[in-house]
Amino acid sequence: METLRYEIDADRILTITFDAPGAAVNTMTVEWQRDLAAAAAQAVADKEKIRGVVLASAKETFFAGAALRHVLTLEEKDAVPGFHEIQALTKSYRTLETLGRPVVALLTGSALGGGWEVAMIGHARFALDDARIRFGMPEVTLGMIPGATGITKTVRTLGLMGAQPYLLEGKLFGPREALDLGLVDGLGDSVEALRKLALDWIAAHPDATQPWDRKDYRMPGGGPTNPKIAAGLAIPICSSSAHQRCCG
Amino acid sequence: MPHAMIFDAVRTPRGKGKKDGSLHEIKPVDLLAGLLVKLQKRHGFDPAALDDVVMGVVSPVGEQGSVIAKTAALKAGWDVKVAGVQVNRFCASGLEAVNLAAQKVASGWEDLVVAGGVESMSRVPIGSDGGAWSQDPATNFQIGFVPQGIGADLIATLAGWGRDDVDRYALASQQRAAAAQGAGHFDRSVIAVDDEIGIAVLEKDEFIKPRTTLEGLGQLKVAFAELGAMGFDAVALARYPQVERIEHVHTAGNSSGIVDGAAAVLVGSEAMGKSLGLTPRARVVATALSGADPTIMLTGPMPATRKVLAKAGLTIDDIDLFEVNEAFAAVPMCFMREFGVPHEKVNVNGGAIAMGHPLGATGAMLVGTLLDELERRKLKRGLVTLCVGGGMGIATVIERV
Repeated sequence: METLRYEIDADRILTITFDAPGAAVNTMTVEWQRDLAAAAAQAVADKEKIRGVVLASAKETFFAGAALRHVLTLEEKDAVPGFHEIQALTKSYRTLETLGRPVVALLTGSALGGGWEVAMIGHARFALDDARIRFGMPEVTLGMIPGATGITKTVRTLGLMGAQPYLLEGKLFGPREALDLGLVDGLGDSVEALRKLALDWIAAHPDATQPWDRKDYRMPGGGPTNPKIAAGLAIPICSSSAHQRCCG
Repeated sequence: MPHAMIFDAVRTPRGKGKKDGSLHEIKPVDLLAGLLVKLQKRHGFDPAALDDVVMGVVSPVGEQGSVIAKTAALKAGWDVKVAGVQVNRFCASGLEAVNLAAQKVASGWEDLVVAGGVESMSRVPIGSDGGAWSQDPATNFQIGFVPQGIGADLIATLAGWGRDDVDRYALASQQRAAAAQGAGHFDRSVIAVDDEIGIAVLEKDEFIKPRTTLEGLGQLKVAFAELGAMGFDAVALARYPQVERIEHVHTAGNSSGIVDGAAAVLVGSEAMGKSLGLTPRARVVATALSGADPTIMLTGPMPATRKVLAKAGLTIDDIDLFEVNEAFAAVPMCFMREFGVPHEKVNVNGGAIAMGHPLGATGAMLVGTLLDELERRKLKRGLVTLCVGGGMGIATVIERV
């Protein structure tokens, strides 16, 4: 595992630290995808030895997202292998979030696009209270969509209406706005303070699950057949607005 | 009067109708549109020649609402002139669509119609559309509504069939379906479902359980005893005082399965077929609808079959093969007993107990299964019948040409 460190401490906390060698930022390279799959499998094997998982970054940003240079080379013939690649990647995410141990992301820097999707593996997120930090999914501004759980998780967290600005406009947000939206669970002034928040949260939520894995989960604001949403033509407005923004 | 010819009858495989079913990820409109595209590609006809797309849907709300037949035709990229209509006759919807298409063509007022149905039961659960029939207490009190499973149990009770009898029927359905699938009998008409980028999501029926045993079936819990005890048994017994109590024998194992699927049958006049280079495989000889007691609900196939035979000028012995929808084991059993038809002629490749019953599509699927088997055995005439909500029954006679 070259692109991340996998460490279990005396306190039985597994910390997975993203630290791509020789790069200024972490990106979703093929090597990182392979490493994350290995880390997820190892976490399953180590389950009885750990009581929580912390996702962290050794870079100034948390995670920068897709390896854009690679993405720009993709052609139609890459669709099928690309699909299987993303399925394998999201399976790694799913393995971690359904491990049966609380998972917390420590957002010590910006997390954009695929990077924000990595942050959303966590059952909880804590962020540095620094206005320069940016979160969100700007994919749509590049003619793409968040393909690795970003759409489904954002809709399930914010609801069909609430998710629109972040998915259809690629609107970014800082730690304070993320806190208001409920997308992060707390802010800290230092890396140490964040870690303490994370450890306290793990101790308080030994049975953490994602909201959509709970029996009582309901989509905020209702699903697409909810009369309020259906009658307001909210769904076609979504697609027509996206059509207008990206000129078809 | 022009004859209504069947040029082809195709279907998707049936996927388990739960969240872990293979077709759960496919929206109903795409399930149907994908099948329409493949039907058109198989024959190369110009979609502009179609007058109508008639599709059965039993829960036409949510993702299955808003005339999905027209939406799917548009999504298939078919000519804008092609119309679409969604029909609902409960479990008969798929066959109703075929019958309507045949009537349109036979009347001479339309020349080419695609008929069938779609139901994604994993995405739009049965009962999603509500309705006074089952949901309005004043109405269902007056008309003696009971859930269909209770009617099936009542049929078994009246006939003296015990748990072992209905389980034996279910086992035969599983064995026949597994053997037919293994021998490739469904290959001609089952068209794989692909996702948006062309990956095959499901290629064969996935609900069949080839390892089913009588012992395994015998261990399943009866499905309708609790509902019966809540008062429905009493409602049914008030109409059938000749039995003391209802023996609950139907389970998930000897009732039709909940699945996702779509079917499409290409029906048209001989003249239109000729002009498009389509070879007719069969013609629709006659169709019929009937009703029967709504409380026992599932005996409609009997009057409908008598009616369709009379209309066609045929007797039961003129029919070579039958498809009697396996809503519950007691339904085809009752049909066989009533008409004295041997099991060797009925549901010879298994049925909905083994393969599932995608409500709106099943009737059209049965047309395809019957036609394939008539061809395989070089036989002439077949009859499809289904029991229907509200006590109705539907039947269609087809004849190879």
